[in-house]
Parts: sequence; C-alpha cells; structure tokens
Amino acid sequence: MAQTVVKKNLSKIAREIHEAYSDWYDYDIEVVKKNARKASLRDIRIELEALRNFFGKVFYGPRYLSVITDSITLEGVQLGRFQIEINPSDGDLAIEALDPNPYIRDSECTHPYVEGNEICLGEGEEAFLCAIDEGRYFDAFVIVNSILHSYAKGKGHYNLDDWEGVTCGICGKRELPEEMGECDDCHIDVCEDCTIICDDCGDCFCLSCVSECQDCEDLTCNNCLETCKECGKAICTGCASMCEECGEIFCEDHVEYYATLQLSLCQNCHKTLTLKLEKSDGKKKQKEAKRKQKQQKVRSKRRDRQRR
Amino acid sequence: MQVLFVNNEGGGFADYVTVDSRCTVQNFFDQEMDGSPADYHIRVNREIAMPTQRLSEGDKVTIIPKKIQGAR
Repeated sequence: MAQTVVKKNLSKIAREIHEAYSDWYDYDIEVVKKNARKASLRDIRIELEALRNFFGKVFYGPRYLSVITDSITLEGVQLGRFQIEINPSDGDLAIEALDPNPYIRDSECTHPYVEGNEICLGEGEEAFLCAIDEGRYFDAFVIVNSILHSYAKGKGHYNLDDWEGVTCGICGKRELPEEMGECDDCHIDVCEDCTIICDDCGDCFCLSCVSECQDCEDLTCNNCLETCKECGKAICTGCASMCEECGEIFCEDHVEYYATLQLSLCQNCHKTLTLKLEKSDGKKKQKEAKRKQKQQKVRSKRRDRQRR
Repeated sequence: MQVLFVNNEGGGFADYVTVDSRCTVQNFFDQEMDGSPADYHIRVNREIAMPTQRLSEGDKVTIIPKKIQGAR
C-alpha cells in the first residue's frame, strides 16, 4: 500500500529508499563503471523535499517512489495525467496513464512516447540513468516529466495529428481520417457503417439524409425521394411511375397501364380520357343515325318520283 | 574556483567547470548554456536555485531542460 510522503514520515521513507538505493549502488557494476557519486541519506531527504515541492505529492510504495504529473495536453490533444514510478532498488521506471486517451488504433499507446508501461526516453535516456545512479531522484522524475511534456512529429510511436481520429457525426465512433466519408448533403463526417450510397444518384449520404421508400423499403437520399400525388407516399424513383397524360408522379398502386389506350395513366386521367372517348363515340353514332335517316328519306323521295 | 556541472541536456555526466569567484547561478547559466534559464530547472547541491544565488567552491550545479525529446 503506497503512502504519501509527508514531513512526519519523510526521514523514515528517506532511510528506506537510501537502503534500497545503497544495495543496488554497491552491487551494480554499471554504476561503478560510470563513477557515479553515491547519494547520502541527507541527499535522499533533499531529493524527497524537492520532489514534494515540485509535484505537490510524492508516494512511496513497498518498492517504488512515484509522482503524478499535471494533466498534459500536446498539440490540442488531451493526454491526461501520468504516474511516474521509479524503483530505487533497481532503477526501473514505469509509467501509467491515469486518464488514458490512447491512440485510436493502439489502446496501449497513451502518449507518443509511451507504450504500455514503458516510456522511450530518447534524448533523456543517458541523463536519466546518470540521475538514477547518483540517487538524484528529482532529476530523474523531472527528466521523465519533461519528456512527457514534449512532442516532435515523427519521433514517437504515432503522430498526434490523427491521435483521436475523426468522430462519426451519426454514431460517434472514432476512425482514422482516411477511413471516414463525408455526407454529400449535410457534409458531416460519417463512418462506413453510417454511410448509405443512394441507388438512384450514386452519391454518399449519412443515415440522417436518407429515407426509406414506403414501397420497396430501400434507403434513398432525400433528393431522389418522390411523393405520390394521390396518396402522399414517399417512394424511390424505382417505385415511382409517371402518368403519361398529366405528367405527375404516382406510386405503383395509383398508376396503371391500359392496353386498349396503350398508356400508363393515373386514375383521374383514366376516368377523364374514358369519358371523352365515350362522348366522342356517342356523337359518331348520332351522326351515323342522322346520315342513315337522310339516306332513307332521299331513297323514299326517289321511289315516290318514280311511281308518279 | 571550480564547480561540478551536471548537464542533463548532454547525457547527464558530471564535469568540473572553472568559474569566477563571484559567479551567480545566472552568470553560470550564461557561461555554460544557450537560451533562457526559464526553459530549465536549475539546482545547486540538489536544491532549487535562484538566479541571484552565489556559487561556492565545490558546488554541484544541475541543469534539466523543461522539454526533452523522447523516442518510439
């Protein structure tokens, strides 16, 4: 269980850390090679005080010393706070993201320089190792803190440009920019799952800009959707028919092909046309009857003349 | 006089540097480093130092940049 380093327990913790550090220093060949100056118990006390002043809180667990950074934002991307842990008995370093906002495609990468619990110290590596060897824990923690506050494009595991990806305006899913589409109507970013290609015009739309055809149930963009003049049904162009007489659009239920007329007609136009035809047929018959009557009259007159 | 300089910008190895006997932290920084002291954490004998602080023979000056490039 980690305890917070406070004035009251500082001496005791400094002693424990110094013991762990001394064991490691005395038996580590690498340290001897570098001729690092061994930190005294007083030095460790000063280090702990300096860490408390810089980070606010310092924690000491059974085998580690740790601090928490402030919330880090780089290039507008909020990466959150990080816990930096150093084991004084072997100099091991571990990083933990406390408010992880990992790279969109790698949940282990919580910072351009952090993968899992490991940080790539880059230019700070040698300085960090020297600081650990000499028990300069303030330097060691501050070096790691400085690395966490830095970023250079192309130097880390991933770039911050597309760290969070682009958010789909419909489902809220985050994707890489190159895997996102744009709605041709409302121009919001949409993921593949929320993109519909209109069968009529072939353009891409988000789910908000398409409607279901009430006949075939296919999704059609709102621009290509027609309304039946008769019943008001929303229909795709595939299910829409035009009356060849009035030119209006109707659903399949309200336009019929009449073989006798050789026309596709709406119900109204069919009625009107039929009535017209019936009327013109009636007039023809009347004319014919009149013509026949006249002919008969002429014939009877001729017969009368011949008799006389 | 001589002071021990630990430059964490350059690998963190310690080296003795000769300075004027009335040298302050600011003077030392101007002599050894480029840029502004505001971009660095400066410590003398493991304690945070003020720019006006006078250095003494055998002091250990540690300088850490506030930005250090990591790697992948």
